Amino acid sequence: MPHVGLSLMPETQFLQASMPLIEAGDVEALEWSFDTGWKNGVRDWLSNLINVYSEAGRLTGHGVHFSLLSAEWTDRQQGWLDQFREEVTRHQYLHHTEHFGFMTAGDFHRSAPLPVPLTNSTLKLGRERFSQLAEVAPCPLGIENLALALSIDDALQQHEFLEKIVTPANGFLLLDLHNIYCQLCNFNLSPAELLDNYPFHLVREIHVSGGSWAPTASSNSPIRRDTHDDDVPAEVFSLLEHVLPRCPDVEVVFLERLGNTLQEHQFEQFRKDFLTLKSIVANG
Amino acid sequence: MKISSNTLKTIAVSAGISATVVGLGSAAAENGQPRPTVYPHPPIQAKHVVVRPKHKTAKGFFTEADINKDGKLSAKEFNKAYVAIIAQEKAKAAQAKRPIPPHDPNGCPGCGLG
Repeated sequence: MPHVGLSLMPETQFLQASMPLIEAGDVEALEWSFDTGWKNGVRDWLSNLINVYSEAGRLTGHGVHFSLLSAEWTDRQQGWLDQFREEVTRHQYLHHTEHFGFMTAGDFHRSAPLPVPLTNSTLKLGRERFSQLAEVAPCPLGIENLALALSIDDALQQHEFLEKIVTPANGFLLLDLHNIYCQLCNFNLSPAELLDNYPFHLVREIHVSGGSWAPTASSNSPIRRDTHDDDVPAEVFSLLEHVLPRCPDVEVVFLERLGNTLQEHQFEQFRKDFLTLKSIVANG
Repeated sequence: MKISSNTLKTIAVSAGISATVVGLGSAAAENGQPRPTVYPHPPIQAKHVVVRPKHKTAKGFFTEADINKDGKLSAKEFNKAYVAIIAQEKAKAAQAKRPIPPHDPNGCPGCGLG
């Protein structure tokens, strides 16, 4: 049965909300977005918690800022890769993951990961970058599906593109179900259209989270965004029940919630979401 | 995965977490003395099946008419119901006025916008 865990956040209120779950032994794994600690440092309690799960072989690494599909190789990316080389010796990670898409380009310094056109050129680039990471990582490497897409065709073809990127390097897929939910909402797709041909055999990790609706300038219809700032919608739990039996090699399922969006009155619902997740995995 | 109470205490004390969360009295936390936890809910055992909160079940938002006799949706029914629910959620979202979600660009801890 897959382990169920939390994506670790550096805010104290995240620890406050999570501590009863950790104390009860319910948090079976942790995911650490290690490159967020490179800039701001890692506080003692975070470091202690990371070490505990690392020593237990229950820690996974999640890169955020590499920008896999930025076409130009920059000093920033080289610096990231150098730090990643050190990071993988610091803890005993089960595996590492990064995001599909790009978040920097030219004078465009930082954003949410954005999609690229799914062409032979971007496939070649994706394979090269993924191989660079795989050469450094001493453990399996995966890539996360993206919430945003340039068009309906882009959304429908993304999984095939991800499969083509990871397969030559023997990589795996991180299936983010809220990102899938965003695409279902934003492109008016059905689960069957988006998921019937999904390469579930490559899925080793699953993310579950909440998000938000954002107004758009061009339409009265809002778009769904993967902002990790709210409770998990029932529809996302439903997707988990739908896909879990199809993922024979999934090893871990994580709940994601930004620590700075957790107020004390939301702690209980956060914990309920985690236990719902755990229940679905236990019964799946 | 169980973590020793001493380790948890160290983590809580270094994070400055209040006594009500992990049962470490503030005085005890200051001088490093352990105290039994006062967290009111018992630990959940590894093989214990967690009772899912009723309002968060997947079936909770499908109508009874959508569910088969055996209580499960067929793939076709699931698909149809899901599309209908998304349409409802989008309609509700279009009506709602939402505050701008908080975002700390300097301390962004994850892929929250991704």
